[in-house]
Amino acid sequence: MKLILQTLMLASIFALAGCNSNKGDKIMIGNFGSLTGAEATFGLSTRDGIILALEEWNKKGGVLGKQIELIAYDNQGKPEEARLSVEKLINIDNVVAILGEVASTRSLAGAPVAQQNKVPMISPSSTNPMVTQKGDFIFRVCFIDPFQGEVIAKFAYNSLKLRKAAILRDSKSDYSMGLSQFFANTFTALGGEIVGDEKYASGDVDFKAQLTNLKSKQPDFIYVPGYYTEVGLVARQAREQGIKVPLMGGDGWDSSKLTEIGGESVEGNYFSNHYTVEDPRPEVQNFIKNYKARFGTTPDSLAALAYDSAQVLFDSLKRANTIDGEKLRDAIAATKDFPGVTGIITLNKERDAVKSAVVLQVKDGLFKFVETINP
Amino acid sequence: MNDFIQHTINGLALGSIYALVALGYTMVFGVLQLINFAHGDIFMVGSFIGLYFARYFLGGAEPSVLGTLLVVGVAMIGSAIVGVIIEKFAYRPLRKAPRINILITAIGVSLFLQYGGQLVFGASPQFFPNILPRQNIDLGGDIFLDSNQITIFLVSFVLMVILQYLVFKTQFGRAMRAISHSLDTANVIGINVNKVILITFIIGSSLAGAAGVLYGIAYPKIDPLLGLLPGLKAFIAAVLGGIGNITGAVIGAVLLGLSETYVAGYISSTYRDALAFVILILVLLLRPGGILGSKKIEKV
Amino acid sequence: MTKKFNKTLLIMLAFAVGALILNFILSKFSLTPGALLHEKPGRFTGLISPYYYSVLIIMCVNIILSVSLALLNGFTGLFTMGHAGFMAIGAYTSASIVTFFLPTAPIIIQLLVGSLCAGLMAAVIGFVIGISSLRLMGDYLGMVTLGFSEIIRIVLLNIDAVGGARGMTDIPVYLNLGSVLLLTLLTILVIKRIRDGRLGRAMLAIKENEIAATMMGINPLAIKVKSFVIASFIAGVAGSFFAHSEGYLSTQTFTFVKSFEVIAMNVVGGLGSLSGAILGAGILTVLPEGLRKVQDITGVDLRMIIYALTMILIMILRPQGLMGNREWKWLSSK
Repeated sequence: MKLILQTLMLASIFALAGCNSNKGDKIMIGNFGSLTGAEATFGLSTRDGIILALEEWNKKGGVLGKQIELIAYDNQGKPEEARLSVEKLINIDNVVAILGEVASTRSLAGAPVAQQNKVPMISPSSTNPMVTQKGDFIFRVCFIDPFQGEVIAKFAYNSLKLRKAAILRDSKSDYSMGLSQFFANTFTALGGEIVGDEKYASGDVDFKAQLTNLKSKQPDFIYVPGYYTEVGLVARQAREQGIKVPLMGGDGWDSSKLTEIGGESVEGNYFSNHYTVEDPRPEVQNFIKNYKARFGTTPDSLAALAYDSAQVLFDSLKRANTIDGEKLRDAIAATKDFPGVTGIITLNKERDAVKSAVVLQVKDGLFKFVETINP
Repeated sequence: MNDFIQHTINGLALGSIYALVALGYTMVFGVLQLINFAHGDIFMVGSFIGLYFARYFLGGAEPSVLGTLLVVGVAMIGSAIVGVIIEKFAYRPLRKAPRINILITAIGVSLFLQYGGQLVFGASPQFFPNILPRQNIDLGGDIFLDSNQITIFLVSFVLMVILQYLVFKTQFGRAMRAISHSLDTANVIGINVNKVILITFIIGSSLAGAAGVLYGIAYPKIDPLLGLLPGLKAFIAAVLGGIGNITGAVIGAVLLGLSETYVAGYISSTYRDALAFVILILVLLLRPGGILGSKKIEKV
Repeated sequence: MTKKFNKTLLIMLAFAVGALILNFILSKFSLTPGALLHEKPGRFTGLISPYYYSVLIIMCVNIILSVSLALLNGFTGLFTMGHAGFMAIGAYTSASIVTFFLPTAPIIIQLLVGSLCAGLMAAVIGFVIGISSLRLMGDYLGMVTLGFSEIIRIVLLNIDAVGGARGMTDIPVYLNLGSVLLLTLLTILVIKRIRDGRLGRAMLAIKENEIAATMMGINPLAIKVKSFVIASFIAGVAGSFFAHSEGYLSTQTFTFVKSFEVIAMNVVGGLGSLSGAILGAGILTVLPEGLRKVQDITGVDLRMIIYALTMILIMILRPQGLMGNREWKWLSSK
């Protein structure tokens, strides 16, 4: 009967959809990121950073006597897909741990699933404090926004002696909303003044209305803690509207596409970041050399953080000497003084890393080091 | 006050782009009584055609007016082709079908273009190369006019004048208007309905394609889902001005562009899209004929 | 409320209780997610992996949406494009009430209060929209409902208390496959009853020939509004199920594309057929999920292309849909 036919059809489609292969001879780790979409460079850099670390370890024999294999899913920049990706990684691909995500919003979507299933998750670059609050299986190897918000505030106030700031934030991003708040708190505490505050949503292309409003308030600089795609467009339109003051932002700016999108308009602007290619430490220079040889491009901070997160994970696996979720979690939590590319990594009680930040300036299409701000 | 002038300039530029797309909607609705949902996506296709042409054929050439016109021309031709294909294969078979069917097909074509676009162009946004030499013009009092905006005004204006001539002063235009009054009568008196409809699509689609390039120049980030919202807004603009009425489409578009910019500037940018829909509802409920249309309520 | 509605309400309550009993039994076989209901440490070791589980729940939600739209579209002949808006209202209403006011209440209270409030809110707004718009016909009704749906979405986007643009997280997940399946079945039966009753016949009369129906003493506007309100109520309930099975809400889910998806389900299955609505929903949910493996390889979202092509081809080649006007045995009107 038609009903039976339809049920069979449904069933067969399901069978097609999920073959669960047994990978007992390999250590499976998962990565979920935005490999396509407006923040594609974040996802791609992260995945490549992990691959570099993975290949290095595999060459030395892998971990726990087995080779490591990565399963990477694209969530297209959508939080619902992020959650589904994590569910798939845990339940269909049976990964021992998850590395991801970059954007705090998507980390927040995926973390509860990892926590619930007791699978350790290390975010390489999500800086919003709420991410690790999701549970004791959620970690990160980067600094958090309460600190990052201070960085530009201190830099602008102390080094550039600027007093009036305007803010243009992304209402769709937990990262942007949080970071702008932390910035505002520090800047006003130092004695500065926030003269204007406008919002946009990632995906918008027209910021002229907001910029016109901010322009009339005559700020010394505009803080745009968003992602590189919108920041590039904002920079352009700011110059088109005759805004001459510098723009500043956070690590969401870090992408090779920023200068492509913004062109000349991003020149001279500043942003806070996790690492700089000019760092003379041998770990950093070696990493940059190897990454360039493997992928052909200079690694951005997303790649560096991803590399560090993978290293920390593999090191923790070695120390735990097991893939058991709870023991692995304890090993990760015990990470202390790990020599990462992005700095010495020690995870504190909140499972965050306490590290320094750098301020970079866009000059001649490159990101040049200006100064370091310590926590 | 200066802010207001700046907002007005920005709004007019936005409105011009909407106008080019709205014209296509209104023309197709005029002859076929069809809301061509896919029209906004033809706008997107035009934008991408322009992007690829600029990238691969103009390469690293210096931004120039000539180059820009070339890109616009190529995009117009490309979009026209796409429009023709859609008309021939998706809409023509359904010309006698109930309106709901063809509307659903239009939705299907729209989705197909968007996600097919993702397949072909990639789902990540791409950035329109700089093909027009840019200059900031200081009008004093902190008001800035961008040369891009001037270009948009000029190109739109020229295209609209050409269209106006075409519709009101030529044989073809008369045929088009005849069909919009009654398709069957037009058929009876010997007008080649298929040909006229085809040409209508060609014109509408090429205008949308031109709009796509102008959009890419003004807002250099484009992606395959680009056409959704601007397309819908252009349609609303056409309804506002009186659907089926060419002058109305332009007026509606300019009004929409202005009010959207004012809302974004004075109220909140997150409500800017809501305005278009509020206008749509108000027009359809209170005066479905639009500004230039008749006052009576249309029944199907 | 008419006597018929009261009876239906009683049946609904009976089913709800039945759903919970079934839920309890199923939980013994690990057919529930780990969430709040049953703490399941470590990996999921039940009969169905949570991935398929999620898909089945999504399918049920889609079926509910599809049959409620069928009431409007197929049975009353009202072409609307705003269904996503009511789903959104339901989802956010239920999520807010349960998260902010009832986070520690027993599951059954959460379920009942959440779904009821969701449906009622959607129904009220549906009433307002219906009264103002249902005089319009054809395309215009579609456009107006689309406009309202988008306005609803944008308003929700701007309410920071429910997460605004970033979405709402940490919604209690209390629904599991057992209860959702039962509630879906319940919805289907309710709509069948409506269709076979006086209201349903009036709706069909209006769809066939409104003027003739008016001659027969039917008030077209009243019937249309009733139909609209019921459909909105059910869509709202579907929204609440969606919210409490995902645990996460984003306004991006409720754009007019979602409305189009539901229309596609109706169209593919066959406008005017209840079984068609169910079939269409089933196919258009499962097929794209089944193709996920292909998607992962090619990196492309083929799902929407499938939707689109299906819509176009069905309209050109088989406009009556897969079921046409026919119904499955158990759903046909006697």
